Amino acid sequence: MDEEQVVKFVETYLKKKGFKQAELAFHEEVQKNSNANSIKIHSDPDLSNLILSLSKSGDDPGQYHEEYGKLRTWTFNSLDLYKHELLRVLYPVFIHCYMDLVAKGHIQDARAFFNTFREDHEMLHARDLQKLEGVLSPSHIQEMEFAHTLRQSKVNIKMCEYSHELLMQHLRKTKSTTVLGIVNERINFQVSPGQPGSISDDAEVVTLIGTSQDAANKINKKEVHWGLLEDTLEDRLEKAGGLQSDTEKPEGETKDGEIDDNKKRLAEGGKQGTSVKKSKKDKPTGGSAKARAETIVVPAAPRVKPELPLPVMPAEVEQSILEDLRNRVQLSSTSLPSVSMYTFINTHNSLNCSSISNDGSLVAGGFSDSSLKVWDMAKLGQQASSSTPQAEIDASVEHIQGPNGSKRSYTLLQGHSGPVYSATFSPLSDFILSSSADTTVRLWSTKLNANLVCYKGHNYPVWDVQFSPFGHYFASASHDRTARIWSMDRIQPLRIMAGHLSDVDCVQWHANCNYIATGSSDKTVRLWDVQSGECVRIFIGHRSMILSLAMSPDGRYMASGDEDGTIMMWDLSSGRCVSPLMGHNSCVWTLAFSCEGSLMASGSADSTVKLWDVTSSTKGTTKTDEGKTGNTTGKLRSLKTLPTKSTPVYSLKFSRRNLLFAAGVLSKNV
Amino acid sequence: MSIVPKETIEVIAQSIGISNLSSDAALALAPDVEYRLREIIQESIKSMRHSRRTTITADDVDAALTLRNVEPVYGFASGGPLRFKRAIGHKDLFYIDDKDVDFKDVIEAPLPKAPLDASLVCHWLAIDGVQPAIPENAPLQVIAPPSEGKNFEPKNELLPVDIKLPVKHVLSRELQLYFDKITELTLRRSDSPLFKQALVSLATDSGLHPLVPYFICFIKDEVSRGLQDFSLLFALMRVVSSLLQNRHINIQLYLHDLMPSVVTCLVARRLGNRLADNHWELRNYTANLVASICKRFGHVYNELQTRVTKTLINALLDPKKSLTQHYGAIQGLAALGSNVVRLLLLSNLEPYMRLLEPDMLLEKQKNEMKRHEAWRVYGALLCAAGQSVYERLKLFPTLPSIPPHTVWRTNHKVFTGRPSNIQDKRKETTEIEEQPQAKKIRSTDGPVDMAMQIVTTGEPLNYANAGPSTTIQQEKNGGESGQKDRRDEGDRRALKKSAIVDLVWKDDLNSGRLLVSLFDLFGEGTLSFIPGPEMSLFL
Repeated sequence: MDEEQVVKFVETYLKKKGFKQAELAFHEEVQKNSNANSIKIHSDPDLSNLILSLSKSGDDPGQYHEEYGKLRTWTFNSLDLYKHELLRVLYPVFIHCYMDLVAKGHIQDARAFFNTFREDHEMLHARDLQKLEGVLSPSHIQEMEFAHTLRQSKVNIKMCEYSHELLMQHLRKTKSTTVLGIVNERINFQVSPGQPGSISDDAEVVTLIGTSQDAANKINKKEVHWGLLEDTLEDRLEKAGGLQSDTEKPEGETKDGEIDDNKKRLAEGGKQGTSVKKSKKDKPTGGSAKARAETIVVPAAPRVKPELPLPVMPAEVEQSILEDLRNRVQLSSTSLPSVSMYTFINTHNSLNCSSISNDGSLVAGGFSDSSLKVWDMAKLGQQASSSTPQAEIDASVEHIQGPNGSKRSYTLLQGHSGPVYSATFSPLSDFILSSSADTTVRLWSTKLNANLVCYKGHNYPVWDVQFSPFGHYFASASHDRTARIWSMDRIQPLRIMAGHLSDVDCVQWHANCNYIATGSSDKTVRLWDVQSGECVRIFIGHRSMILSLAMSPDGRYMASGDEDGTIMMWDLSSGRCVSPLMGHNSCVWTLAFSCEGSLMASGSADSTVKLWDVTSSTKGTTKTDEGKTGNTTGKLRSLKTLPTKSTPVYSLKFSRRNLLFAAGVLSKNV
Repeated sequence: MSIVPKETIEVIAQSIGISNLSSDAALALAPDVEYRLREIIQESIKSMRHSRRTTITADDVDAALTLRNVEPVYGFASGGPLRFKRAIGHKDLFYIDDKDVDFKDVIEAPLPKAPLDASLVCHWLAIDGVQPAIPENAPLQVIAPPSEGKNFEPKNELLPVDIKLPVKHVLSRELQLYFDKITELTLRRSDSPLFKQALVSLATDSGLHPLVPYFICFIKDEVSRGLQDFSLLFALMRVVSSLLQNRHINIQLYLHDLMPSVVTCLVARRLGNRLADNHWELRNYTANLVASICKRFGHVYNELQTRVTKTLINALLDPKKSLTQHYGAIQGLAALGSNVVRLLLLSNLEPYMRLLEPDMLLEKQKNEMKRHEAWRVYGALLCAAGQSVYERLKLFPTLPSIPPHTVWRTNHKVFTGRPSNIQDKRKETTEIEEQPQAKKIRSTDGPVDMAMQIVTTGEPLNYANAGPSTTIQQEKNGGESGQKDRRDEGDRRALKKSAIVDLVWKDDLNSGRLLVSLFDLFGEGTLSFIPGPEMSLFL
């Protein structure tokens, strides 16, 4: 029986009974829905009648238990080939049965139901279950975001034709009207002809998030220009062979172009950039939003123009960076980096975060007693080399003198009124930003050792703050579910990124400064366009809170680490996971890519630093030495595990010369 | 329904002054309480994660409460995870052990030491992907055989400073500090708990290999210099012992340097300069150390044990050497195992006993110190020989478990049945009763008597039991002779006894040998029934 027949059937029915209002409404509905893909079950009038007739009598709480139990045993006894597809149905049915029971006020039955069947889903959905377990009254369902969104949205489940038929037949045969109702109401089947899908698709399908998969897919179709900025220092080094760079200045770009075809274009870009910088205006979006993906030089990465006016880099700093780049150690799977470990001792459990400056000479620690402490490693070295540590400290350095006359080995920065949760150094190490539970972000000068600005804007603790790769701009992430973009010279945020369904836990800039990525407690990572403030990617796949993010230097990939120890490598342009990296067994606190992007390091609460080979899979197209044909399916290799001495690793940083710095706290009970 | 029972709600309501809470209200509140609890816990976990911790603390809960605009709970802030105690009789009920603190005590107590300030230390976690074996790094799972190149520290760029001798390679500053610390502890504060920690560190740290030659050198120097200083010697031996325990260092390369120092501590004429110094204990300790070295490296250096035993037996058989040296030698030999004792010690026993005997007797040896030493030596001999025979007998299949039991039992019985025994046979009864201190001797007399009787009954096989029993006796004897206030009278009496014991002992040895041959002849059948009836016979 096809759809038209059903419509006719209903129409005649309504006419016969004289339901004119209903008939009108029905007509409208039919018009509206004519485009939408109708679901197969609705086209079955017998079934619809069955539902209609029985849905009212389905109030008996015992029925849920009984019917779900039946469905469960049937599913577990189904054919192996179709089993995994059918199993996917169980979880949404389970949670909706539970919430139905709660909504109808059968709290006791709901709890009994939940406890009876929760074991089945414990492995995949432990965290969700923990949340839902607390939902004990209808008002909780309204109040709790997670439950609410679950009720609002439908779950998409992919299934092959046969499994779907099997399921429906079973439900009809056993007259499980309650479950059938739930299946119809809450699940959106995407029935595909042919063989059942492979089990490996599971992860993708099963994750239940607030936004429906559709919305995520739609967002992920947007264009992302992940290419690097034009005319980076690396390029200039390559072009000029290191010698020409002496005469280079950011303003003098027009002079130095010698070989390039696109010399003019570059010059224009440069001029435009500088003029905007002077006027301190936001750049008109038209100019660069449609930045063409230019493939100029050896690295295949397309080039894009900055959407933000970027600060001018002083010539001498540029010199030192170029010097660093020339001396960079090339890392690969065969030549691993050296790791310098900074261990905090005697912190008495109060260190919340640490940060290492670009050259590794400064280390900042944020403490739960609201203080920020900065260690100068160069001074530390001198001091320790004298026979009695702490005895000789340069008396001319004022800040080392504490208020009570005792001598300290660090600079104490006080100003926050709550635990400091994050700190970040500006690219030139002249500023530090810190974020705290007191809802503020503070800017400190490492030269003056003083607080310069206090940025107020967030309403709740600020979990993370990160400087952009070029300085001046920074992004913050907060418990108030927003991420914000700031510039150093304004006390108001420039952009507010709203969309996450729970706390934004971490934030990271894209290498070209046009995007930021945020990781959240809602288990998704999002990519935002800095200029427009729009969400351009949603990355779904993690099973727990996201704790750390890192962007590859070529701008193509992003890595995210979560609470369970899983690291996922994402392709920014496709929004897909390249491969999950398993290995850590506790929180991944920090991730870092090496400067040329061939290695990634991860630091975890399990007191290890792991090194991963990024090239073997992601660059499969350019480097075929691994013998891999595609660049999507390759597994990233774990190259090396470096255990520390009971020191969970809080932060990692590759210096420009590819020396890896790690920082952590010596903790006895780990 | 809710994990919070209705009763809990009622109790809480009462505790805050609401006495007339209806049970319906409590029922309705319970699920909400649970929901709020879960909410707080969820927020606390967020706070915990952002503080980079994996254990939740009271501070996290406070932070969560603040987030929800609730007044935090005061009085639980501890900075660390709380210690919970399990309530007795309940499986899953925990509480915080919160002691009442008297205000006065707190005020009057001296200010506690200020906690150490946070600081930062730096080391290499890896050099080109390879982890250097330094103490700051976690012990490696698989220790690669130490090649010469690896021993050297990677931190060459950090000021190279030589420690003592002109050295060729460079030690890292950390290792130098470590070495200085350890040596200082050994020299001056060997009784502090810190020294114990240091020993543990020596025994477990993986990165000490570069320091081993320095330690060996240090031990050598200090032993030769500090023979007068008993505590120093003991501390040094403990350092040696710790180094031997460390699996990450390859000490066998340095054994030739180490052994002389250790053997010195075993058979030196004088160890320590005061009377109170218990150099016997040091000798015992060192004897075990020597034995463990021989056991561990014996298969690598074949001549190791032979050289050690040669040194020891020379020390023992040289009548010019002092008794303390003899003692050390005996202990050393004894620790090397029963075979060594049997082969080397027992064969020389008779001539040696003849030498020793005069020193033990009050009449011949007037110097009490000397006599005491002689007794010590004698005790050690007894112990060694007894052990040896016992071990020997244990090898026989039927005996292994019986002897210890029977001996203990008979020993006990003899002790209780002692008075009659004494009255029958001993004239010294009165003497014993006069001296309560001699009680221990009395107890040891039992087995002696027993041994005597057995000898007289002409049942040599029973010496299977006599071996261990004399061991027991010796132990008591040894403990006793350590007492400074031991009376002369007791001494004299013991001497008389010992003459008898001595006799018995020699017989014992012979019979031990006899036993072996007898056993070979008669087989196992004869053994099993003998102890029981014999015991009852003389009891």
